[in-house]
This record gives sequence, C-alpha cells and structure tokens, in this order.
Amino acid sequence: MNNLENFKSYVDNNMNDIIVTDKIKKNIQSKINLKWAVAIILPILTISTLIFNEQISYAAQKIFSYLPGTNKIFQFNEENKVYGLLGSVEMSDNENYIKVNTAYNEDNIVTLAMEGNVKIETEIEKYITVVDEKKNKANLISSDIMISNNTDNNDYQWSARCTYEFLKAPSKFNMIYDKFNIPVIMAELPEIPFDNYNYVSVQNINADIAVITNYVEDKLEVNLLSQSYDKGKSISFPLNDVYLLDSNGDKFYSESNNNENILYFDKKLENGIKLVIPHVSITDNDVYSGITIGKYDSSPLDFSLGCNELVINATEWIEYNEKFNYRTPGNKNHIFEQQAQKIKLTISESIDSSDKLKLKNISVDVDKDQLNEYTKEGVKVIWDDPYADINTQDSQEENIEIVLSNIKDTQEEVDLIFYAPVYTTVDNVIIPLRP
Amino acid sequence: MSKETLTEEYFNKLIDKHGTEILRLCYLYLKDYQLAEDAFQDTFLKVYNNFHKFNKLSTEKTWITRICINTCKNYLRNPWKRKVRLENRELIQNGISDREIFDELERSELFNSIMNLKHTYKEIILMYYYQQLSVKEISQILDISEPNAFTRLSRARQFLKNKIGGIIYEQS
Repeated sequence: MNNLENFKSYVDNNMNDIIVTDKIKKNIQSKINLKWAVAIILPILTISTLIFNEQISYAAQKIFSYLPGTNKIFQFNEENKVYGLLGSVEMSDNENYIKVNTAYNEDNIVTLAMEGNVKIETEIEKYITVVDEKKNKANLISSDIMISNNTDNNDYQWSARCTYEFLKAPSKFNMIYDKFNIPVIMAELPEIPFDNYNYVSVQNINADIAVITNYVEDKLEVNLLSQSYDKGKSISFPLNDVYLLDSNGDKFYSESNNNENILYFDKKLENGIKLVIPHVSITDNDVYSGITIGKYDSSPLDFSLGCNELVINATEWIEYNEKFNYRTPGNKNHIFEQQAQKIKLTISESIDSSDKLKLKNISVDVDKDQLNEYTKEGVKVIWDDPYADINTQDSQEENIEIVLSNIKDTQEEVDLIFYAPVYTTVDNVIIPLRP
Repeated sequence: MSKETLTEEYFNKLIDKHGTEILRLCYLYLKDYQLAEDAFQDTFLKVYNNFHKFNKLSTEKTWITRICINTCKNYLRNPWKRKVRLENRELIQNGISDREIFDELERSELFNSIMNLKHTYKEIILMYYYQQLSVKEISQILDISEPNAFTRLSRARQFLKNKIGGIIYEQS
C-alpha cells in the first residue's frame, strides 16, 4: 500500500479472519436476554434504592479506625489491623532533634511524618534508615521533604512525609539517624462503628467521609475525616462553606477552623441536625499528560488525563515584553528587556465526561527549554508579572483559564505537561450527625 | 424506528451490514483481538439499548461508529480492561495472533505511520479512509464543526506526508 486510497482494501485483505461470527452474534443476543431478566428484578431493587441519594450511601454498620491528627479513617480489616502512633516521639541532644509526629500503617506500608534540624538532604535514605523489630530494613517508597534555610543557618529545619514498605505490617519499628535510634511504638487503633450517622460513602469519588464530634468548652468541634480508595487521590473540603443544617432548615456556619479539617460551631448537637459540605474536591496526584500545542493549531484539542477526557477549547498566543531592573556591583542600574510570549488556554471537560464531577483546576508546566530564563550577576532569574496573582484560575464556569508566561518569543509550539487535576462534586454531601 | 420496533431481525441486519467493519475498526483502535471483540459486543449492546435515541439526523453507520469510537476510548483509558485477557476466543483457536496480523499490516510504511499518529489524527484517518465516512459525518461523530474536522484531517495528512515524503498522494 502506498497511498491512502488503498487503505481500506489493504486493511480488509489483511484482516480476513476478523469477521463477526455467529458465536459473537449469539453472545450479544444472550447479553440482551440477560438484560431482560435483570429488568424484571430491577423494579424491586429500585424501590429500596430510591430512599438513598444515588451518589451517597450511608453505612449500615461499617467499622473504621481513626488516628487523631491525620484526618484519615481506616476501614477495619480483621486480617490487617491498623496501628498508629498516639502522640509523638522525639530524640534530641543539646542542639539537634528528630521528631516523629505521625506514624500509621496500611497493611505493610507505613506512613511517617517527621521533622528535625539534624542535617538532611532530599535523598532522605542516605540519612535515615528504618528497620523492623528483627532489624530488616524497610524500603523507602516515597518521600516528600521541605527544607527551610541551609545547614549553616540557626533556623535550619526540615519536615518530611515518607512511606516505607515493611515485610509485614509492623506495630513497632526503629528509625535510625546517625547516633539517634528512635523506637516508634504504635498502638492498635480503636474501632469506631459508624451507623446511619456521622458517615457517608461518596461513590462517584470512591471515598468515605466520616465526622467525629466533640465539645471543646462550649463549642462544638467537628473533625472531618476522609479516605480515598483510589491511589494517588487526595480529598479536601471547602471549610469556610461547610455548615450545620438543623431540622428547621436554619444554617450555622463555623466560627473558626484550623485548616486541618477541624471546625468549631456555636451550636449544640440535636435531633435531625446535619452537616452539609457543598462540594468535595478531589486532586488526582498521579496523572500526567503531555501535549504539544502549535501556534497555528486549530481548537478544540482533545487530550486524556487519567480517566478523564479534557478539551482545550481555545488558545491565544500573546506577545509581550519582559522588563526588569537590576544593579551591578558598582550600584549601576540596568534595565533589561526581552520579547516573550504567553499563551492563554481555555480548558474544560469533554462533553462525554461525567456530569457528577466538575473540573475545577489543573496544573500545567511548559518544557523548561522553551522558557525565557536569564542569568544576571550570576543569579538565574525568571520574569514574573507583578499584576498576575496566579496563572490558574479556579472557576465556577464550565471553562477554566490558564495563562502560561515566559515563553521564548521564537517558540512556534510548546510542549506542555498537564497534571494534578482537581475535580469537585456537583452535589452537596449531607451527613446526618448523631445527636 | 423506535426501540419497540427494533426487532431481532433488524438488529441482526445492522450487525450483518456494519458489524465486520466495526469489529475491524475496534481492532485497529485497540490492537488486541480479545479487547476488540469485547468492545464490539459493548458497541452493539449500546446500539440495542439506545436505538430509541437514534434521531436519524445522521446515518446508522455514523451513529454506530460514534458509539464504537467512544467505547474504544473508554477501553483505552481503563487500565483494568487493558489488562484483562480472556481465553478460547476464536481468533486464538484459529492459531493467528495479534502480532502476526499486525506484523503483516505493518509491512506497509504508510500503515505504520498511520498507527503511530497522534490519537486524534489516527482516529480521523481511520474514519475517513477506512470507514470512508465524509467530513460531515466525521464532524458529527467527533462533535466538532465541519471546518474543524476538515482542518484536523488536513493536518493528519500533512503529518503523514512529512513523515513518509512523496509516497502518498491524494486524489482530488
């Protein structure tokens, strides 16, 4: 085949064996007949399911474990119990310390949140070793570390969140750093039964949300806990918009929240009271999609990100000047100016996408080689627009708008990486609270 | 025709008329016979269940192709379905593997280039040159304007030309 006009005959000739057989037809027919059988049963099921919101189900009697301070709930499992560190463990000499703030296991994977001011770098396994009771070394699976200042500075401090894989689910282990050997002893977490109160399962995000209530002085403390069952997805709540709804239909917003999913209300629990979360946000941290956009490409451009189909509805290339001042050692003022481009992207979900979730935000990076980067007086700088607060706008509309700046003026196309899309549920999540 | 009048006979006629081409389209899309057969069956189950929604503003072939393309896209982005392997399918019984079929097809540089095109371009080439749908029909399937479909097709052809030089030509 050397031209497109022969494409059909070329494919068909090579696919003589790919035909619809009677057996395939019968398979379809049998599935259609099965649907009829299901249709007879369905009315009975429908009556019972009508009672519930289709996206949310309230547990009949689910048992969870809960570790204070983690905002996580763990579904109780007979075989693999959940252990957690109640409180924190710290070791220090006169000047330096390491502290384990949080530790819990999910099966044989242990998540550790720690901080310290001993020397450490991003390659954390060079400095910290974790071993089980039999001194088997645990494998570091992931690490996320934030270091403030450098080691010469008195304010040097770091905090890290790591996951380690053990041979089997541990209840105790040791964390070793140089001369420090910190025993971490975790306790079996208490089981909390959630019945028709204080718990919902939100099916379209495959997550459970639970609420722990408590009184602190005369305020009602509401702690929102969540567990996503999809790897790499994290859940967040619009804390300022969460409210209590009493049986008269009156709303009560929280007086304060601590940004760690704990809210305080000037309201007492009573019969019929519910917690209303206007929407839940889900960030998909594990998906990436690369796409090349040309200056003269026509829109729309479709691309997939994880399980979602997204569309770039419009692209606008805008030329501008990057201009900034800098001083040389002789205190001489210089003005630097360079032509550049920015691209305004308008993105939405594909029409075919789920109408139960809405795209709220998305992150995008441009290939570094396609960006303007300047070295002035030995310092690498990137020009920033002082009048643009953020390059991505959360949107209440169907479309979200992203502006990508600093693109070289010679670029006729750019390579983009889209990642970390944030979706929100469209419907309220309503959780009846136990009076 | 409404769902009530979609008789078994008419449904079988639809399969006889469009089935093989749709099955081969699934196969070109998914490159795995087992998945292609599953996608094909899903496509025609959707045709059966949604026939009452078919508004006749497009042809039956266009409508079925649209369902087929969406089904294949779902299969491609669903990692679980990608991993599923079922045994005892007829193609395996015939002793022909996916690899053998595609090895033969891939002897053509043009075919290879089409298969390696960016997804949106591959899709439009398959619809235009394999299914021989018009630009208007393709625009209905992809839910884009006719000029957009035409531009996309032109760009896909341009990519092929750039890739394999003067081997291909277009008939006016």
